[in-house]
Amino acid sequence: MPEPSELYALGNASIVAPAGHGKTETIVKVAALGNRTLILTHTHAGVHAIRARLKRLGVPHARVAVDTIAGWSMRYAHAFPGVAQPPAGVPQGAQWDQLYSGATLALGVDAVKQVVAASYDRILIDEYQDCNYLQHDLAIGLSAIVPTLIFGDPMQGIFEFSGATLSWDDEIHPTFPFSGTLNTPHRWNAKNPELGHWIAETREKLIQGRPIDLSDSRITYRQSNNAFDMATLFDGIDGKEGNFAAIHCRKGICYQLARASGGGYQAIEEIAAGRLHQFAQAWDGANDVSSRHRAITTLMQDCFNERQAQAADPEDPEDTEVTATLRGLLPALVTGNGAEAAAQILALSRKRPRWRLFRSELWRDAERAIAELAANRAENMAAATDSVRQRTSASGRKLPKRTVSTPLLLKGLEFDHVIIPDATHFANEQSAQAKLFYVAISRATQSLTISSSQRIISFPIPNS
Amino acid sequence: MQIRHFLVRNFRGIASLECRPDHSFCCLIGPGDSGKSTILDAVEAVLSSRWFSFAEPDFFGCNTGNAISIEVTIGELSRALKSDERLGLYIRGWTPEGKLHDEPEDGDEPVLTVRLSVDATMEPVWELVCDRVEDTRTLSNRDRALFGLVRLAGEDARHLAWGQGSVLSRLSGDTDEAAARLAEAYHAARASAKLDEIETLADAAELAEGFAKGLGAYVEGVYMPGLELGRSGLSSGSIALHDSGVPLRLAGLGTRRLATLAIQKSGIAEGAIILIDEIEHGLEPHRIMGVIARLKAQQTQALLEHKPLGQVLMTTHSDIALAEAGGDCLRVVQTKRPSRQTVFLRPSAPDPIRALMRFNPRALFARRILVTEGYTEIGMLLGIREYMPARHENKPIEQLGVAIADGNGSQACEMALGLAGLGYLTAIFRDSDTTLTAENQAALLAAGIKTFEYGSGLNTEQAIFSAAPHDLVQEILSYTRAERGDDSVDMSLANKIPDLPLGVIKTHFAGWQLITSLTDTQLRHALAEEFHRKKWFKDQRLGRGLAPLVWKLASLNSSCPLAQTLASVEAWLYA
Repeated sequence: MPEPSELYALGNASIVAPAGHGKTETIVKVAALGNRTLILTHTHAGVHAIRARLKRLGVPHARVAVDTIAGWSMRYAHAFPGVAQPPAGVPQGAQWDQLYSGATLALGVDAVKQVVAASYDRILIDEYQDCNYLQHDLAIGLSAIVPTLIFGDPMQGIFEFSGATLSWDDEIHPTFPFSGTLNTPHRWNAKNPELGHWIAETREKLIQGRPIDLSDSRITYRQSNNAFDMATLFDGIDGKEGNFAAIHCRKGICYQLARASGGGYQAIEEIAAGRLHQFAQAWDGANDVSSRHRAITTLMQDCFNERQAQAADPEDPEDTEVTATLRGLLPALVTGNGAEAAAQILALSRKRPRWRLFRSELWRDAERAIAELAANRAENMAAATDSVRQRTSASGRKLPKRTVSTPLLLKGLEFDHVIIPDATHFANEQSAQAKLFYVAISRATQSLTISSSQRIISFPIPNS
Repeated sequence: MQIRHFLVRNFRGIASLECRPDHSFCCLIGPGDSGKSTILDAVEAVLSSRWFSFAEPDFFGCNTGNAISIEVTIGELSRALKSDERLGLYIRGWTPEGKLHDEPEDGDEPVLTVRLSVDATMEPVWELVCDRVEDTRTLSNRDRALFGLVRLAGEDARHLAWGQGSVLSRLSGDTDEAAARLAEAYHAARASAKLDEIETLADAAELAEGFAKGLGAYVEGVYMPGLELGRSGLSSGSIALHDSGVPLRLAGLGTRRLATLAIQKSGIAEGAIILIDEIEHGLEPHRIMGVIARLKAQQTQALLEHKPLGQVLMTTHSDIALAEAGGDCLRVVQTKRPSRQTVFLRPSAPDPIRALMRFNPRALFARRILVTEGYTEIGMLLGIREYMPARHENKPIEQLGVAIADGNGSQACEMALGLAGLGYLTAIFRDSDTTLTAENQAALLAAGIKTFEYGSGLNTEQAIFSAAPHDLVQEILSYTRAERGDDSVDMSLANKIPDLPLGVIKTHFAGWQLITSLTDTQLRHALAEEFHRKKWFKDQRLGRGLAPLVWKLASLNSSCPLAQTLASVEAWLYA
């Protein structure tokens, strides 16, 4: 494992960092060696993770600037709008391309180069496998001004579908020569070194497209034809400490798993928060009791699983009371902006005995947005949801004890126990099948449970 | 840091000023009350980290209705200023041709524009000017400290002690140890403080000594930290620099100023902007030259090492300082009245001005300059001016801000044009034996420069001899013999006028006419020719000695070309 000081001295270079090999720690330690280092990453979650590590290692705040590539580009493109021509406001769709190319153009101006050179003595870019071509151009521009060290893992490049298809050998290494691989499996060393070995071996097999035998004492294999086999999700969890993640590539299936688990596993929301915005749109477009009621009930159906009442069940007096109160609140949905009543409805819904919440993040965000509206801090529900999501992305989210989600959303996180329902489904993905599988298994630190209809699975050789 | 562009509105005596210093070393001169110190005050107000409180008299014409605005564009930016966590994203572009782009383009130098504005509320606001950013970026005193401004005004003993925020305390790193020792010292005797044993303080004192010596401060022994009990009790401010046990505060004014400047300057790592009021204050001529040479050498050295040069803006009333700074550095401040538009002029063609600065730099401190073409003429006019005050309420021309300058012979015309370009009221005094080229005549006319000549192709000797009564010619002959030797003068004249025996030449001029066949006019012409050829008066001192005789001639024969010309010169000098 190269020392931080050796990495610091490299100049323009690339480092391969397999999952769980102390990449964040290494980045932070290298960064701390400079007078002022810029660390760029892709997501706000990544920014939070790095900032938290900087704080833990006691690196003075002024020494390291951390930003997303998008955030940094916004800053520079808007500071030099004449050359960069940034899109107005938050970029949408193809406007992101315009933003990145604009920031790259700004770096061509002498005076801007001087600003960059005066601002940083090293630039470190994290998760380079997630860069698209325009972000790569920007990185090349930066590396011409300040020595730039990039960190990434070809095997975690699961954004191929959205254009992150740079070839390491042909496109990345000419600017950032390969200079080493992090080789200490920190994630498993203390907790389960054997599991670490299995993941490392599997990584090699995946790279070469070789078959993988799931029957191995270092992991738990369950023969099962069905992703919705609840035993896979729940068997043995009582004896285990820590947090859990069930990982499936399809988000629709994740929601269904969460529903089927009766909220035992919680589904989490994407950054774009499409369902929340859909609710806001429905609410803002509704003017009468019934359409507002509909906006709430459809959201409710997506967040709660209702256990069917059995014929034999006696009447539950509590349920009757809650239902009556809810009904009584409906006319108030058109009193004022209606948010007051909506807030009470959402709060009461949590108390219905046969209803189990399985998208609690979405429900909580809706509650917060409604509270914003009730307090007149937002003009309408759309503005309220924007500000709620902005706050979440700025402060980082807290994950539930048991989560079910996709590799895309869980990438970069780690969990004590990982469950993969129906491993064969990875082969059905359009692209990056092996990489998705590697990202999924490498989230686990203590135990890994994989269910599959076949004991031996294999995926096409991944792009590198 | 260097000032590229500077704009002042409604500040004290300046209604408006726009200038580009255009040099790393600017020597500001100008007649009294032309706004030199106000310019330095304005630069300090906008760039210093100090808080300034404004009052009515700070507004032009005491009219608080017209807001004060001081805007300065700074180049040669330090790394700290250019950093994007500070002001880097607000940079603008300065083109090689000296134009400003709000957003820098390729090839532009990054610059920052700082504006200080004060309106009737008297609340000063410092902000960056950057049109492409919606929210204005105000500047705190910490931001402004990054501009590295040093002002050496009158007396400032602050920098000779280890007080809070002083340069000495920064040179020392931390003064905690000193504080602890001071507490002990409070109980012990003053002598027992032993501050010189504290390494950080002693090191800083040693550094300060080196800097001060570098600029020419006199150091008696060694600089050491010493205790000085002030009214404020005991604090780090009570530790002051001592030179061989004597507080530096008590050293001579010049040494104190040089030490202060050296110490302040050392506190700024990258290219300080240094403002100096009257650099000559308290310094002997050789030390004035020394400190200027040193400051310029430091810039030359920085240039060689590709380090920031910084900028020196100094005012002076010393011709020595001016001569040492050199023609390129000269910037003349003129305030037009009554509009109070202040202009900042630089020599467009420095060559003739350089000649003036070499021979007669003090003329540049005048408002009105008479450029004189030859040694005879300059000497003569300097002598004659002594007779003029009697006719003008005893006022010498100098009191009216008028100077007579040596035009360095044939450079007189260019020099006059250069001076007019610098805003001086200028005239030329020359004899007429060579005629001005049509080109020069046109240029002089266009620049509004008056030319004084005897006319008719007369040179000074001819103008004198053609008009002098016999007795006065005799007096001139005697004066010349006394200066040039009897034999030399008489032999030359005998050669020149062959039918005039040496014996006759030794007698009174009135008798010569009887012996020679030349007419009176021819005889006078021959004399003038010989005097001119032998260059007997071509010497400032001899020219000056001639003045009483010329003055007498002008009063005896007021209609002759010489008298007429001198009368119009006098009228211009006293206009």
